[in-house]
Amino acid sequence: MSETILDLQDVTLRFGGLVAVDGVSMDVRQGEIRALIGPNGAGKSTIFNLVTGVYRPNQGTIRFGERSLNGVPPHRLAGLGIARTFQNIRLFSSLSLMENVLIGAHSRGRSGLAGAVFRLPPFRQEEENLSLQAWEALAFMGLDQKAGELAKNLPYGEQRRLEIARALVSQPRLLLLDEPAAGMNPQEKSALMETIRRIRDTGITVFLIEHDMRVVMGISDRVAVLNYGKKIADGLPAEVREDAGVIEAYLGTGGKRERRRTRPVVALPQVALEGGAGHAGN
Amino acid sequence: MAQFLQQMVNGLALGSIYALIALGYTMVYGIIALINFAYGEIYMFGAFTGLFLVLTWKANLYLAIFGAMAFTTVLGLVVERVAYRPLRRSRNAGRLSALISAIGASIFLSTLMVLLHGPATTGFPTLFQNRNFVLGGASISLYQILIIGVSALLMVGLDLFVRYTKTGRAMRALSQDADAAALMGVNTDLMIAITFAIGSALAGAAGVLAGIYFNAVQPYMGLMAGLKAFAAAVLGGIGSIPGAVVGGLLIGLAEIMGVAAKLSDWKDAFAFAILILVLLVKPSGLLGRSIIKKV
Repeated sequence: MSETILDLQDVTLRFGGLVAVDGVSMDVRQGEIRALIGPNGAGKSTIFNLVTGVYRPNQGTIRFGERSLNGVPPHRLAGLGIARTFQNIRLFSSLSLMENVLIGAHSRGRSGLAGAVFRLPPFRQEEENLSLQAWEALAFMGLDQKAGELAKNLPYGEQRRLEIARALVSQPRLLLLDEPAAGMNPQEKSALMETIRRIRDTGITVFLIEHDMRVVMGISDRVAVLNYGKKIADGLPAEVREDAGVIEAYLGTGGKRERRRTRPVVALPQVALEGGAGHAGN
Repeated sequence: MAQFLQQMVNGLALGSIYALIALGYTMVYGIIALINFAYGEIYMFGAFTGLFLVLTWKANLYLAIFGAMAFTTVLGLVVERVAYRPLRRSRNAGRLSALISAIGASIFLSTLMVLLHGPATTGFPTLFQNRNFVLGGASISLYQILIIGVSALLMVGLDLFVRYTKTGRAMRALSQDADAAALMGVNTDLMIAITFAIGSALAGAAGVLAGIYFNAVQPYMGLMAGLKAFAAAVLGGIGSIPGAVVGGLLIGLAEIMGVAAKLSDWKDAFAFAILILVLLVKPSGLLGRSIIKKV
């Protein structure tokens, strides 16, 4: 079994009285495609925001390799080797595709401000290297033909791909994808699954949140399930799919609830009292 | 016609000064949606630094401008550090707190100068002999050429910086989505500090130019200039760099044309009449993007 790259231990986050993430422990192993699923509002994106330092946990530890991520500010993460995409696309809409990707490479630049202002040779060399890498990232995602266009002029599916290109150019060890398939059509989803496998094959560990079960079950090595901030299952896709708790979280306890709600209506007359059923006290 | 051309020249010179200060307002607003009302006072400190360098060290024109820009850069960084950054960090401080802090910084700086120098107006020593050139019926003075030339140079430099350097690119990214930019590795605090530094350097240069042009430097000169530059930034579309330049030039022209139309008693009112009009008719300004609130 390969080593753990990301490790969450007993992580809890409260917003006032609401417990958004409740004692979650999970790990991501080097080289795998790891998925986190769960109903809306289960706390999945919050987990990403905790890992990337947007929120700080009230309790628990998050480790990346040997390093604790507690208290590391967001702008240091890219340098450590963590990159992410967003659930609601957050491109720099008035910048070109090329510029968007170059911002993704920002943490990799070494030259300071003086080098940039006076265009010293080391700066020029570095800019050329970064431009080359930006081209490669765009080409990897099939967007190199449109490098000069503004991000806002791209169709939706390509904006999602551009977000991935922007994350890849920082050459991360761990890539966090927040609902990468959202809003894609079936063809785009198939292409995306292929792309995620190709990213994994380059040696980057992938940790994704996704709603689309076909995508999750098709590519993930292991799947964790979150419901109301708690982890309710974790394992191979096939195991998770069969888990009774997961099925209940997704389909709800609808059957039982339905009955509870309808019974009193039906049983309102005295019959209910006479029947002496468990719900009579209602 | 010659008269009109003449007023155009005068308006461009005055407008260049407003434009330089307006650039600071617009850049800071573009990045953190805050109005740094202290830019007017930073401009005043620039004028005094230039004056000081010329009087005590017999500095020439270029040294005076560079020295003033260097000093106001530091001053801008200090203001950002002391008056704004702690509020940005605090969860309890809203946008209004930052605005009030900005006004406080502005009052503090002008009062400080009264303490250091006294409230009197000081003339600027002659650095070079002014001359007039006649161009198509209008005369343009060497001072005006200096102001328009230095301003144009700084604006072109700023444009190149923002467009073609890594830092400029990071600043543009930050102005569109600060959180996403931070996650790409952009150090937002550093970028905000650089923005304040650049705006302050431009205001410092404007201060020296204005001191030479009007031959008058006094501790409250920043108030009116700062407010007019703010009006210019709003007219051009706050957040837009070309907008600040266009707005500054238009405010300068409007003021000079008003004076030419024998309304000099109303000289200071034109900028604010325009400000009110813009806010009523087109709040996004001439070149600004309309702000759509994301839900």
